[in-house]
Amino acid sequence: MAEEKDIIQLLEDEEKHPEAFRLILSTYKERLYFLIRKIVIDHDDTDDVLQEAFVKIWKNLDKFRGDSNLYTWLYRIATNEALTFLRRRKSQNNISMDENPELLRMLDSGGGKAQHISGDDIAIALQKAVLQLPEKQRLVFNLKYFEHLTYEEIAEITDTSIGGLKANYHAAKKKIEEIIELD
Amino acid sequence: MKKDQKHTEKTPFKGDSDYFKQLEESILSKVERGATHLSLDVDHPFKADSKYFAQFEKRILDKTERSVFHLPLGIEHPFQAPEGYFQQLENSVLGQTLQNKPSQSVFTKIWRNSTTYVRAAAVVLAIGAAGYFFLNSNNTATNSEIAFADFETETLVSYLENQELDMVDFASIVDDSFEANGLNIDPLDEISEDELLQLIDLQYANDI
Repeated sequence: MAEEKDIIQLLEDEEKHPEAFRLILSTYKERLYFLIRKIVIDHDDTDDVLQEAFVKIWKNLDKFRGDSNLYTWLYRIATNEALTFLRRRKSQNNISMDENPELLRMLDSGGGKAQHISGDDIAIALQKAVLQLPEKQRLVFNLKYFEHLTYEEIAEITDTSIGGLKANYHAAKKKIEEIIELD
Repeated sequence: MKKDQKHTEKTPFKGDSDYFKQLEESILSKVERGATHLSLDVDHPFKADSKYFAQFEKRILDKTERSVFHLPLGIEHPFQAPEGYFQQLENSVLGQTLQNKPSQSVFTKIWRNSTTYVRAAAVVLAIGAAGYFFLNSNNTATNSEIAFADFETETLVSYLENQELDMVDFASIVDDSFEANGLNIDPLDEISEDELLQLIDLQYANDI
């Protein structure tokens, strides 16, 4: 696995962009897969979004500025692709942006469309609770709880103030505790 | 002092010299006779079952432990990827990027290496070839041929300077326009501004 600083060094020379991209792909493919998977739930949808995200990363390599972390830049592209995918589908089905009935059904059906899910009950219960959060809280919770990012890093990815992120995370955590408690 | 003396001298009333002392004693004696002193050891009349407080404490602790769920840290997500997926993903992504497309399109090269005027010229060429992108983006155009004839380079420069175009999407559309109209330009070739202007002349000649 390549070090971020090595990749950034390659990105400084346009001739070395192909090499940098190969390293980005091999280093971040799994992290970006699971980041997107937690947003769109289904494996096939995740695959589509992830491929689009990597194509976008490739096309925009020259726009990366060394003033932010490479992985927050990558997370930002992947997150935006996943949210755009969900918004487009919800818009087609006239579903509110803060509701995820289809994703909840996927998790419930287990062996249905959302394949490749472990049988860990508490992990599934937590995902179902997270799906009941408004979009912004859901995103912030995923980045903080599962990705272990700092508020500063999440602020770079989501373009939100740190105060707003803290409020979103605590509201999300409280709501999840209430949902799981009721179940 | 002189003022007080003057005032005293002017007051016409006189009282018994013991009067005020007797008044004070009389008032104090009346207050003391009528006052009720609250005893410090009077108890309240309420009673609780002797076991009540022991049970109460247990009940409260049971209730708080049972009803408040605290989300522990470290619960993992339940998602898994199919076996061999990531290798397949790498091949697929490389097929769509490095192994498929030139690292930089013709239009992107022109765009990045030219002045705004030459960028405008490149757009003119693309419009001459495809004829829709710019016009569809401009609300004033109703008929592509008429509107195109009316546009001057100044207008295009002004338009380009005021738009935040997504270069990737824009370049892709324009490159498609080049290809669709038989302008086969090797993407690896560098194009000078003169060559670009020649291409525009050629395009106009074809249109006319």
